[in-house]
Amino acid sequence: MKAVICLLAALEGSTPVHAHPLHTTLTTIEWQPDRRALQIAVRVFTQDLREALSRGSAAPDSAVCRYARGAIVVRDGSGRPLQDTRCTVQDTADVTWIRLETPAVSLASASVLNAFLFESFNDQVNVVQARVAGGRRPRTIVFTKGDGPKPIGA
Amino acid sequence: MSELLAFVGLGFSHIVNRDAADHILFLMALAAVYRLPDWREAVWVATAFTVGHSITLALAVTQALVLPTPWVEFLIPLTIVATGVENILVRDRARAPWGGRYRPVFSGVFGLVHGAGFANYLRGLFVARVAVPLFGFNLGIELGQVLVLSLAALSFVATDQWVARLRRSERWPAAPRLRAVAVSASVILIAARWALERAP
Repeated sequence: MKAVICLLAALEGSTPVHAHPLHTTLTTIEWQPDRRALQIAVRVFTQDLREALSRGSAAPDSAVCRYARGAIVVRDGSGRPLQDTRCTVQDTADVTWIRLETPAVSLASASVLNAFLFESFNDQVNVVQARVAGGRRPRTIVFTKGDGPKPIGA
Repeated sequence: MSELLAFVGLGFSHIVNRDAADHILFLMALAAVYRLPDWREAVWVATAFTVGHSITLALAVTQALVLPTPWVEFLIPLTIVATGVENILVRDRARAPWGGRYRPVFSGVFGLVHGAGFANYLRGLFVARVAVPLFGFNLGIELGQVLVLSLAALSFVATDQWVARLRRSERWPAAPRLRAVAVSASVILIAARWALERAP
């Protein structure tokens, strides 16, 4: 009975404001060999991003881009971080799209780290789908708090 | 890691998580009236719930159905309260209307509401290539539910044994009934508060 009471007390204490918060981002990474460019598109829940950046209010696009550049780091085979040259932000009803583009000659031995919102939510899970070799299916990489960089290729 | 496995993990951790309190409470309310010999009935009810939330999850993620989030979030604790109230009011399931066979139907309908709750969060993320993420996420939820229900069953068995030892008189209700009422009353109190907080 004690176990049941403890579980109920823990559940009661959580009192979720929303029905069932899901702390996750979905990111696609695509390499365009003809343009020698890497395109990164991050989908993040707008409410989560606002909580992280500005305690609930809307953050300017420049702040969103600055945050994204720090949270997602792609390194080439020599370990050098790739610097993006373009960043656009688009708000939809629930989700904010952040698109980054960076020149990249090759992604052989490249790695990625997606630390989006780890500082805000302990249960944050960031899913990265990378298509870098022209394959039909993207490679899926999952990041949870404490993870380091992971290889983009197979 | 494969794409399917990634989303199975996401669905599983979405249920086996302290923030999934509303979902866990509903599962506990569903399971509260059953004893181990009733496992077939419990499986029917859990399956109906799964079918219900899978339907709305698929419809909403594919944009075929868009429901207002505030109402969905308000209805979810009400489904928990309704389940708890039914647990307490129906003393003898054999004499309940339709022999108690309405329970899987209720569970399926309530599952529709809970699925809409999941979907409101996922709709914005799954904009392309929905099938594998959706199937994987749903499979992860099911595995999480199996774990939660298994742990609930074990804790209920232990509780029944403990209550049976404390039972002083044959006039007292049987241990499973006392346990079902205690769990249901607790669940009702918690979910009713959530409903008040989330009222649109």
